[in-house]
Amino acid sequence: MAAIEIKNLTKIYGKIKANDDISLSVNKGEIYGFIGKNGAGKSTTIRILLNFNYATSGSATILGCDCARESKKIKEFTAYVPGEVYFYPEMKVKDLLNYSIALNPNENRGKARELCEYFELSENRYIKELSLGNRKKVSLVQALMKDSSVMIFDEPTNGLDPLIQEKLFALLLEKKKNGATIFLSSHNLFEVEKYCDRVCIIKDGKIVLESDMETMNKARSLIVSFVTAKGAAEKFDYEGDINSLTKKLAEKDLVSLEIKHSSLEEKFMSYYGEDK
Amino acid sequence: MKTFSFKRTSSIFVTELKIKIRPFAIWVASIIGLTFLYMLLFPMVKDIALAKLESMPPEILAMFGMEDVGAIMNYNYFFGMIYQLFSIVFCGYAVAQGASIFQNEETNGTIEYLYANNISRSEIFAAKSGTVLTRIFILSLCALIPALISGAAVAPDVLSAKTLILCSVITLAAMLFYASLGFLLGSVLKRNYPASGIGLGILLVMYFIGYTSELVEDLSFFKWFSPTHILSPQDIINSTWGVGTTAYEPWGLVILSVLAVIMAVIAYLLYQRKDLQ
Repeated sequence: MAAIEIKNLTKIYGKIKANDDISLSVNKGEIYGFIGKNGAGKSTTIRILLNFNYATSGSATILGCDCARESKKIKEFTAYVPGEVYFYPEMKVKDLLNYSIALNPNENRGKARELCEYFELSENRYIKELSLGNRKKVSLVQALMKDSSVMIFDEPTNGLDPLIQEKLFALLLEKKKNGATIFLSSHNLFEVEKYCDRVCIIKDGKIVLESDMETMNKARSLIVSFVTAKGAAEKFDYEGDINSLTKKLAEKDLVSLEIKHSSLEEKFMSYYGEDK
Repeated sequence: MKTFSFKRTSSIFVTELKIKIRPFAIWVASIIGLTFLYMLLFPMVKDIALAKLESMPPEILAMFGMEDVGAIMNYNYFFGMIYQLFSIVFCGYAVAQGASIFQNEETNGTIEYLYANNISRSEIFAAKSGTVLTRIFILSLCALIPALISGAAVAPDVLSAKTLILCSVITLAAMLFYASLGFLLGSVLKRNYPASGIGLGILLVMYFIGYTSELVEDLSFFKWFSPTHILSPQDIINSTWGVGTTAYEPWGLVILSVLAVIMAVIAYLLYQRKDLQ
């Protein structure tokens, strides 16, 4: 059984098709990267998974539970970090965490305290006093303090400094080692490339690529760029035999040469290039 | 796993009361203060008020439920006249509160926090509507208790506690009707439509339709379009339920109570399927 299974999911808002017949499957214990530009349909997909919104057609399940009908059960074992974090501004961080514990019996106050220390977050500050990054930390503590088998994170590093980002992924990798499944929606392609086992690109509500990172790495083309002594600059993708490439390059009188593997960013841009 | 947990619902209910305590405290203090002010001043103002009211056009007086200005000399009637004004304010508060319980959280984005937790929409609906009902109940006590205390102090011989309590009950019923209307608007309307403003608009339109029924005799049936006229405290005071002699017809109370329940049920069902905007 897949951890997350989406089948032929369509969501229409008025005249806009936010999700257009999408299907995907996330295996247990993997980190699954979900990428696409703003308005591509990422948040709509997440909202349907968490039953904030209802699908127009199709189905979605988390650990076999139907997202629309068994939403409350799903939230027992699913943690969520929203892209934009909004809490009650009049509350202190500790009050909010206590509120979350009151609503979720399997959450743990001791764990919350540990996580606040880990993320360098003061529990005595009011939500209204917190910066975007600190509000994100509250959201992370709130999501991670329960022992969840599925985690849905929407832009979890948005607003966090690089050190806290590293700490977050260290923790997520540990959770993954213990069998947790992480659905990571992100604009940060570097972190998706670095930490995800599989990746999915969504564009205009449709999935345009779903692949595991290993296959993607093998299939990566080379990006070759050089400048000749006569000043001619050239850049091209190369997918053929590498020895043929070096022979061809040796015939030229080069002053500079760069050969690198294409990154996830280039793959992403190849789908979105025409939108620029 | 229980689908409805009283403990979780109570947590949301208490938190909801706590985080909005300041604006509510201002309402409570204002209503208590104004009720004491008006009712304790009864012995001093009744003669002056009578003189002033007698010089006003009867149509204007009717607008505030003051057809018989001489009745102002009786504490119970005086309370009814003041309470008639309060009831419009209370109904405005009820419809605005009912409409905003979901829409405010949608606008502020905090509803996403609640939805992400291990709670059902039924629990959220129960807790939030419970908060509104508690607030309007407290608010109606904030007018009733000072009026009873003031009556015992300044007009102990004529004070009819039963009449004042029935006036509060009837106004509470009108508030429940408007709170349910608010729940319905908050569940139906998307967040870019101001449900509270629309609710207040409906209240005012209904009120003025009811007022027309008092101005034009042929349009007296218009009263049945205005809950604040159907459930008028003045009607209770003038009836045998109060200190008057006419019979009180409770049909309006029954019909509006049924409508309030129907609107609340529809609001609940719609809220179950409402998309987060």
